[in-house]
Amino acid sequence: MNIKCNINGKSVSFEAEPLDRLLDILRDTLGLTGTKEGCGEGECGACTVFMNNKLVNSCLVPAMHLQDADIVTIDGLRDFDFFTSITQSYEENGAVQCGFCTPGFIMSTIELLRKSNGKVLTDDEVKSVFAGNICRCTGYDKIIKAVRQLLHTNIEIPKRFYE
Amino acid sequence: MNKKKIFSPKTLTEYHELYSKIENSKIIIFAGGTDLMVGKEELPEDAVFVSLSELEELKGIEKKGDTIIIGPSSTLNEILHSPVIQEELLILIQAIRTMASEQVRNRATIGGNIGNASPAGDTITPLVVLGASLTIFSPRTATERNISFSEYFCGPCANTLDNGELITKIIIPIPLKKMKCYFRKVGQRNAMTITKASLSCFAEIDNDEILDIRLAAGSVSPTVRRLIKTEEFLKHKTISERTVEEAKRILEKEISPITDIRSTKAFRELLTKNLLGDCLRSILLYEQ
Amino acid sequence: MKKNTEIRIDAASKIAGIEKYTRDLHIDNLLYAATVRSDRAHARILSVAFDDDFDWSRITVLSAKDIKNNFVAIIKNDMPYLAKNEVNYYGEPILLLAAENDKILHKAKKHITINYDDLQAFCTLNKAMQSSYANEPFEEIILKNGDVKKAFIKADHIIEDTFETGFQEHVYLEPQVVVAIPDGKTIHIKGSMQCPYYVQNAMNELFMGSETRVDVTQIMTGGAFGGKEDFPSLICGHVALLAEKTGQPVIMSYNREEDIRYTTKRHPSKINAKAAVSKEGNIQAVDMNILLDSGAYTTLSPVVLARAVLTSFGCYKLPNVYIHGKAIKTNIPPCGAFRGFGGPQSLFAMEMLVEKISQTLNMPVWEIKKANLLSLGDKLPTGQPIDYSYGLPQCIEKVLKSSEYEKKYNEFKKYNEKEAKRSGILKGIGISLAPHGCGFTGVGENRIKAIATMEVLPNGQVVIKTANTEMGQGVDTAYKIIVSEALHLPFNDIIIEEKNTSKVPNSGPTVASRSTMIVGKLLFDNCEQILSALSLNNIEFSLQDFKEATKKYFNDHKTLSVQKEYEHPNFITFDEDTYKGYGYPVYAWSANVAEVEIDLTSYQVSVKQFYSAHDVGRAINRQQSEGQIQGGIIQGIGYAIYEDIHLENGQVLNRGFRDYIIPTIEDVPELHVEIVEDAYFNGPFGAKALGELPLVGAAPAVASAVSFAIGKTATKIPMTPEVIASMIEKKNYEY
Repeated sequence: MNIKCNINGKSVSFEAEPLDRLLDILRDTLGLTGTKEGCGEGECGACTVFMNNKLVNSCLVPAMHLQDADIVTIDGLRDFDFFTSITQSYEENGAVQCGFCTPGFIMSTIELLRKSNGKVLTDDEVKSVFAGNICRCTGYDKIIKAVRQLLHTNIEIPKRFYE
Repeated sequence: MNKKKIFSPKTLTEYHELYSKIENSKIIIFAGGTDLMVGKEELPEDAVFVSLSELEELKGIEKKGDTIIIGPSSTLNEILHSPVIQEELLILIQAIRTMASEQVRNRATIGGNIGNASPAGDTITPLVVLGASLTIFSPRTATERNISFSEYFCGPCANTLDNGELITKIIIPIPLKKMKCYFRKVGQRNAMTITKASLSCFAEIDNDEILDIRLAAGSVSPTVRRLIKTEEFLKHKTISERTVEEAKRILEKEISPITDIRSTKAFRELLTKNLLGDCLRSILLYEQ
Repeated sequence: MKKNTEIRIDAASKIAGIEKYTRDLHIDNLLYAATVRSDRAHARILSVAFDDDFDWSRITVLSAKDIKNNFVAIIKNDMPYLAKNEVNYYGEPILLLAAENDKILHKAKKHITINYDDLQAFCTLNKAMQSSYANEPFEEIILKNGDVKKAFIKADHIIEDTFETGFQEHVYLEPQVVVAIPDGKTIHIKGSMQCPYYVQNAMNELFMGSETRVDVTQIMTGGAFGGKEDFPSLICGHVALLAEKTGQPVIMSYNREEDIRYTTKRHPSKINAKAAVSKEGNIQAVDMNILLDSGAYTTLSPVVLARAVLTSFGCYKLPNVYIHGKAIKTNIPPCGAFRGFGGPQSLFAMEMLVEKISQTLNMPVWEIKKANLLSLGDKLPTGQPIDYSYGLPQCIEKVLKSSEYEKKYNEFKKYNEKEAKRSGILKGIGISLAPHGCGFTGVGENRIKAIATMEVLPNGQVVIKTANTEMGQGVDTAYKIIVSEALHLPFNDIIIEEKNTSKVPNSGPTVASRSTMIVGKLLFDNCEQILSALSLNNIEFSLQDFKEATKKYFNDHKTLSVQKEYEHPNFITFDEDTYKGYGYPVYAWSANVAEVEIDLTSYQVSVKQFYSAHDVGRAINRQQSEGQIQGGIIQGIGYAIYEDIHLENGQVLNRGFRDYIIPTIEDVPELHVEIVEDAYFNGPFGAKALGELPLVGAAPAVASAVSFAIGKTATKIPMTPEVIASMIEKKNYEY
């Protein structure tokens, strides 16, 4: 089937089988390899992207649901100003090791910043958003610290990330 | 993989009209796809998919008199964030909070959770104790009928629906405010976990006496059912250590857990009994 | 050192998703590979049949008879690339397929039928011990010291139990993936791996006698933890053979199910331990019988067993020991390297033996540990004196203070007596002390003779050339820090050479927590040589001076390249027959305190707080050191309470992250990490090992806390709710 949708702010169209995974479309068809595959069953969150402003596992989204969808992946974030703050906080807090889970964590971080909307959240609230992101290297502590620091900074997430 | 046949009807009428073309194939109803996308290569090659994504009739959550009607295409997160559900069906909120992750809850639907008919489906035990019923659409006749959960299940991960039949509504009577509710699920860890055993309960309590009680346990029987004998025993009892122990013995006979990769039969029995103890303790403490 | 924390050089690119891992490489004409596996645990292969009605023209098939040198070079070379006549485990590779996409391969697999004649399979350690496998261990080690018999005769108490530890899967987030790219007579192998030279050596043996040459490049690796030490040699052979046959690039990319079910895991163990103890709580002798379940082939079991034996005495002075270790074959997927490498198994047994001593003597466990603790100048049972870089006492002091151990010990005792029934929660606090031998066991480092080279470019930049790989642990950044400190150069002027076997020397594998201590020191020494060549040694100099000296040097010379080969200090010797001498050049140490709660409804253990202090000699990058420690602790907590592999007749039943449970962010305790720096004279700036140690002490600390809470010694990990219920309720709820 032919699919037209918006990926990282660009309108794209491609051929796909209805059950092809968004993850493979991003990585193989479109060459957007920033999104990683850790488990292929929605359990690790490495392939997390935004679909219509909602956090989803791209390994679980079939092509047939993509018609007219708006997708944002890690590869579409680098040019936003707010991404610099996120990078800085992750770097300064040592929240990155092997890095394979990191793009997924970054997507969830943006969701959290959106949710908090300036409010400071409790650690439990923070953790509940990250429950679907598995990290094996860091023990999560430094990721939580990085996110906590971001929650104390005034970061503006652009309008297009809101419904 | 062969090219799969997929239909995305926009209305139930449209589904009815196309049905005659596909009725002889195995029809797989595709909602959020969070279960079906895993191991999709193993799905039968000649199956026909009916995607619900464009069926507006299956969406939405509304309060109608003393019932709440949930469209089966509502995602778990839509239900979790619905003010009506938060106000009236706290037990469902408690259950959904324990399910999967933010990412999955944005895609997975309540209809899908019910449709799988898994004894570990976490929305099911609360719905059973809430006395919810299901509206089923038959694409052959284009008619709807209502069934209870006890009519719906027929075995582990099996339901009584005919090929291509759909759940179109989940109808939930709003419980009285004075009812006490309890939901607890035990999995292998705190988050992102499949249930080893769970217990849902509604009870009406006056002083220390249980006037009415409804119980359902997850993951410990081939299908989720009310625990009628345990309920009968507990009705009109005041709770003491001895009644709790007696209720646990009755409960043990009412469930039939299995050993699988997540736990053993013996442990699931112990766990379910403990959950009943915890439930009664917490309901009555709440009352005190 | 001036600087103590540097931002990782790869952090920004990983955050932005532009760092390229193996699957992210763009390779033209790529073929995909798949493995056809045994579905029997032990059988003779009678026939392999291909359905006639399937179109095989688009598929390349490779079997054992296509392979001249069909054994993977590891230690004993007993594991075939493809099984020929006999399979020894469920999942053993029998055929390889290659085609232009995964979907065809998936279909093709269904059109192959393999007929077997079943042989008797021994899929558990207990069954193997009753079979002929018991008499043919992959390795057997005996370590004796003093007179154990006499000590047991004279002892006030003889305390004994059997301790069991389970499998553990590494769960590197990036599954196994390697690719082979043919280029004339050369095959370039690229992939996710720890040890490019292990793969290089294996490929040299695989293609011995043919004209095919191989070079190996490590690509940024998404976690490894030992899982990419020995295993990649097997699949690199697979893709290399397919690339040779097809003349096209071939990728082998495991999905998570394949990775969990068929790659190496941590060796399960069964350890019987017995102590002779005086009534004051002094341990006079230990008699320990260590069995490791090694799976179907030898892989690295002999060296895993060696570390298990050399870690078994923990941090205690034991005048008399008899330690007998065996690595036993079973018909399950081969076990292999995993962070800690035998240490987590035997330390769990020793620490729980001490727990049992404390419960038998009714003395606080910390009193027993204190009474038997090694002091500076004491000797290990190997005869190795502990006379330098012994920071354990400081570690202990720190964790006892930060955790308020003694206060909570009394509080929790009271709580469990008075409050637990009402609250439905038992509280526990536990303590573990852990050693980790730094670098290779015994004379291993002297045998490897690691080489590191550095080159100074005419513009004054320097290039670091080692085979040590970045897999998340931060080695590239650590090397830059060492060189930057030694040469006063900014990071921008330091280049890390690609980890390609034709570009970097063999500085040994990236294992055994050796990269910073051994190879980092070689780099430090390289820097001295450079300074000496530039006549900058022993003087103060600036960046400007360095650049000018370089310029001057290149007036008279064409290149400036220095090399250093590792040598043990003379006194460090080890006898592999008697296991006497220096088991390791030095030990790193940790002290750990865990606080747990056990829910009496669900029997779930949750670790609430974890306090830890590590003596790492010197933290080259403090923040990353903490990160390593935190990650290791959480992996150890997973080992202690969640992670469980289920086997049925040798078949791994776990199929993915749904049923192999590791800690999520909602399952982790608050972590309190402190670092102690008791410098090692032969490490760069005093640094010792760090990578594995954090995992080693974690499970015993949690098990100690659980033993406290229940009042009964934990004898088995993982302590799943089923195990905890069996401890509390006196009935078996386990599998």
